[in-house]
Amino acid sequence: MESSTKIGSFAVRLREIREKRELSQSALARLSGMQPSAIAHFEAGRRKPSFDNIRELAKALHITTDHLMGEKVSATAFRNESELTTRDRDYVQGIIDMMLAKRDNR
Amino acid sequence: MSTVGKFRLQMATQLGEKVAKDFGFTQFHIDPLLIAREKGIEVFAKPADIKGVSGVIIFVNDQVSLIYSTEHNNRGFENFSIAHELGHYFLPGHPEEIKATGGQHISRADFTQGSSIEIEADHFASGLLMPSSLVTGFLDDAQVGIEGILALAEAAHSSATAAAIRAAQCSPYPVAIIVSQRDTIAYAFFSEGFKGLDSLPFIRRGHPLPPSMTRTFNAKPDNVLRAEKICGETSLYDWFGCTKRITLDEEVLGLGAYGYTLTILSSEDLPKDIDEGSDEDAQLERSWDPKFAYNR
Repeated sequence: MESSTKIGSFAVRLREIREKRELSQSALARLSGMQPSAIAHFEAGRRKPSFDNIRELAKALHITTDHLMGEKVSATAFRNESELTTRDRDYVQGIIDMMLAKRDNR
Repeated sequence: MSTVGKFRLQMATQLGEKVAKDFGFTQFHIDPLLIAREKGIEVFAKPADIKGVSGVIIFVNDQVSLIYSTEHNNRGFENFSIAHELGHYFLPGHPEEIKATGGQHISRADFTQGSSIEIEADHFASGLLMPSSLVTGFLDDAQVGIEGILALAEAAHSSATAAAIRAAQCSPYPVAIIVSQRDTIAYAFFSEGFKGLDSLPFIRRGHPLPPSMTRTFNAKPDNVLRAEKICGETSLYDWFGCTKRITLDEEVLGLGAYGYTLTILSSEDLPKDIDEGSDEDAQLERSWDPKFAYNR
C-alpha cells in the first residue's frame, strides 16, 4: 500500500514506488533524464523536487503525478494576487474547471 | 539579506540560465513561451480587457497551465511574467511552498513583503531571459548607461527596468539603478562596482529623492507619461551625501503608463571594479536586492 499522503513524504513514496518497479536509482535517473545522484538526494530528503522533477519522475514510472504524490495535486500560484479582480477570478476558475474535468474524465 | 538568502537567489538565477541553455538558446532572444510549450505546459494569454493579476500557474495532476496578462500590451512585461511562472515550475522546493499555503499562493507585485519563492522566481526569470554570458558579451559592445540598457532590453525582449537591473548585476562598471515615483524612491540597485565607490547610505522604499534632475523630471507627470528621456551631470555627493564628489552621468527615462521613472547613474570615466578588497557582506547591507516588480 502506497499510503504516504503529503508532499513532505515524497521521499518515502518515491523510494516505495521505485522499489516496486524494481528499478535502481541509476535506472530511474536515466529514464527521467536526471543525474543519478538526484534520485538518491530526493529519497534521502536532502533535496526538494520541482514540479518539473515530479512530472518527469511520474512519467518515467508510468504513473500519474497524483499517484506519485499520494494525493490529488491541485495548486495555483498567482503573481500580484492583490490585484485579482472578479473577472480575473472567473477567467482563472474557468481554466481550473477545465483541467479538473480533464482529470476526472481519465 | 542573509548569506543563505543571497545564495538561493544566485542559484535561482543560475537555474534560469541553465534552462535557457538546456533548451538550446545560445543567443538573444530567449523565448519563454517556446520552453513552456516544449514542456507540455498549456499557455493562455489572458485577454487585455481582463485587468488584474499578471501571471498564474496552475497544477492539476499531470497538467500544467500558465496564464499571462496582455493588459499592458508590453512584450517585455509578458515575457517576464511567463518566465516568472516558469520559475515556479522549475525551481526546487516550490511545490512544497505553494502547497503549504493551501494550494493558492499569494504574491504581491511590489515584493516589499514578497515571499522568498516570489523573489526566487523573479531571479529565475532574469537569468532565463538574460543569461550573464549573453549580457556580458552584449555590454562589451554597448555604451555604459541608458542607451546600452535600452539596446539590451530590445535584444532580450525585456523591459527597460529588468534589463537595467540585469546590466548592473553583470557590469564591471559602477552603475546605480533607481526607480522612483513622484518625489520618492521605489527601489534601488547598485552594481558591485558602484558599492565600492564610497560608503553609501542604506536606502529604503519611500526614501525621498534628493534634489536632482530626476526629482525635477518627476515634478511634471507628463514627462513620465510620455516616456521622456533626459540626461545630465550629477555627483555621488548630490545623490547620497557621500564624502567623495565623484562626477556621474544621470540619465532619466519616464516609464509611461506605469507612472514610474528609471534613473541610471554611471560614468564611462570610472574604472572597472575599483574596490575589489571591500567587505562584500558590509557592502550588501548598503544596497537593495533587485526587485523586478511589474517588470517595468
